Amino acid sequence: MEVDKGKGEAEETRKVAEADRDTVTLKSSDGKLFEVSKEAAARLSTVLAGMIAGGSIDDNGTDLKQIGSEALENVVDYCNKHANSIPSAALISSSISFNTAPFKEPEEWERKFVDRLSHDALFDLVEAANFLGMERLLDVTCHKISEMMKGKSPDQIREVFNIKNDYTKEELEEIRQELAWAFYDD
Amino acid sequence: MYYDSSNQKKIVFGTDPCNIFIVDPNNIGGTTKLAFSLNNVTTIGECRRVRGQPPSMGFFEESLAPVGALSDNAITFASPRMRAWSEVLSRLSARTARRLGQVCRGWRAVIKNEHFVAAHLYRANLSKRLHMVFFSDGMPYDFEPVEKYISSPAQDVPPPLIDSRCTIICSKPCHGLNVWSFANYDFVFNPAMNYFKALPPGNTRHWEDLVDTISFNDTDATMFAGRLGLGYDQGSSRHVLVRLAYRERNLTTRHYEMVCNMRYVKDMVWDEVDPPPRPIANMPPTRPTHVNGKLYWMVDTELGQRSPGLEIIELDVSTRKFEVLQGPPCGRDIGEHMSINELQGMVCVTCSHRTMGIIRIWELEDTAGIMWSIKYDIELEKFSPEFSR
Repeated sequence: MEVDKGKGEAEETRKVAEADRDTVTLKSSDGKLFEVSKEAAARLSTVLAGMIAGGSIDDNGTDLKQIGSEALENVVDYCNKHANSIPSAALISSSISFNTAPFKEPEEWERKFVDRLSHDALFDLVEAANFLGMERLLDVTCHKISEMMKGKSPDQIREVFNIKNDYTKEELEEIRQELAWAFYDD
Repeated sequence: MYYDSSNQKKIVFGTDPCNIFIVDPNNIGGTTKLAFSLNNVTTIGECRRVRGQPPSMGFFEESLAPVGALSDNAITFASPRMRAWSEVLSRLSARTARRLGQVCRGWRAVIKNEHFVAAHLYRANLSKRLHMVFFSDGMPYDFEPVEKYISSPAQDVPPPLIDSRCTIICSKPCHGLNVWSFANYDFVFNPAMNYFKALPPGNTRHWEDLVDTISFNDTDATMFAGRLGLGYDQGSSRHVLVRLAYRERNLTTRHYEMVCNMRYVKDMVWDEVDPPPRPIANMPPTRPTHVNGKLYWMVDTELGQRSPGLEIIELDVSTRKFEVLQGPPCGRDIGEHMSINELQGMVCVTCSHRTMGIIRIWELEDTAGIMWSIKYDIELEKFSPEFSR
């Protein structure tokens, strides 16, 4: 679960296990600290895996200036939940092909995890997952967004996601013509 | 090769005329299954057969690859929100993504971006699921996942098109695009997107001039199965078309003359290049096969100098140079039928032994040293010999 530690607590953790801690501390753009399982972080995020392997993890809190505290909290929450949800033997065999495996439907807990998020939180999480190279989290969040888009017209999509229609009437007509030109209608 | 709904590897192959078989490579011999046949069934669905031309089918990939206009790469993914949307859009089907270009300029710019198209192609086809395109009257008209026919009991859902002759030559997908030839027409197309484009026949005459003069039942020597190849030049990230034609083809004297033209799909003009050093075979299921930036054809054994063994022509699409490779040790017996294919990213020659009732698949293990090995033997059992072509 997410650990939003105060400064004192974080320092204490650092003292306890300087050399081989099994967690890493991440710092959001607004300066909040979060602790996440090192194993899960390395497995789920190519960026964090690179930082851990390259020794560029700061025990005082690795700066992630692009990610706000709410999104980082969700990232850390996801990593920790993920670490708990899969038996470790399965992890080892599946970790090699993780990034190239075809998309698997979200599991029940992943579905619940994204369902409780607001639109903004969901998009912030996509951005954070993108920045951290978290393919599975991207799949799960994007899947949720695409479900929200399903069966909607372009007008409805603009409305739901608060997107401004920046086309002129003429341009839109031209695009429609182009789409209609297809010999097989979808 | 494809993966079925339970991610089991299967080999799918078609035989002439128009039967589709499925084999489990881990259990060859026991499980050859006739998925469906385009034979002996009458027209179904909205198939239009204006000129009574036989239909056919091919496989395609999910892709947004354009067949013409250049993608606009000047647009930005600058805002984090637009990057997030591009992640969402890259996970949608090609058709849905294309339709969503109507939402706003930013989205349209994303789906037209070359890098996005490449990322989408990669992602959308990770599962290696096959999609089929069916043709009627020389035009593609129906697109279906293979599993619609394979998973259901054979007779419940007949494929939408049927005929005994395959005169449409459709290539395997190559980085999201296919080419197909029909009578004297050549097309490059993206079945997932419904994009297709007729290719002008050459530099000398205009396409429009030819449309009226071509007879649909023409058996002109230029129409042969290997005539149009589609490759992908990794270096320039561009699709390349290769067209071969016979100016002369005399089976009695074994004399022949070939011409070869190449162009990028996006360009308008064909460049003439040196023709291949051997005559290219015209065996209807034999289309040029694309593997790793190279195209492969079978050599026609009935023309030119006789060679002691089977030969294969290789073309490097970036250097535009042809090479002759030694083929596998087969094809000298009467009753053998051969074609060249790609299987799991390797060049394969499939050799059907009519009398033995097996299809043997040879794999080219090493293109530099020319090492062929037997990859699979597929026993046709009760389907032999009538389906062994």
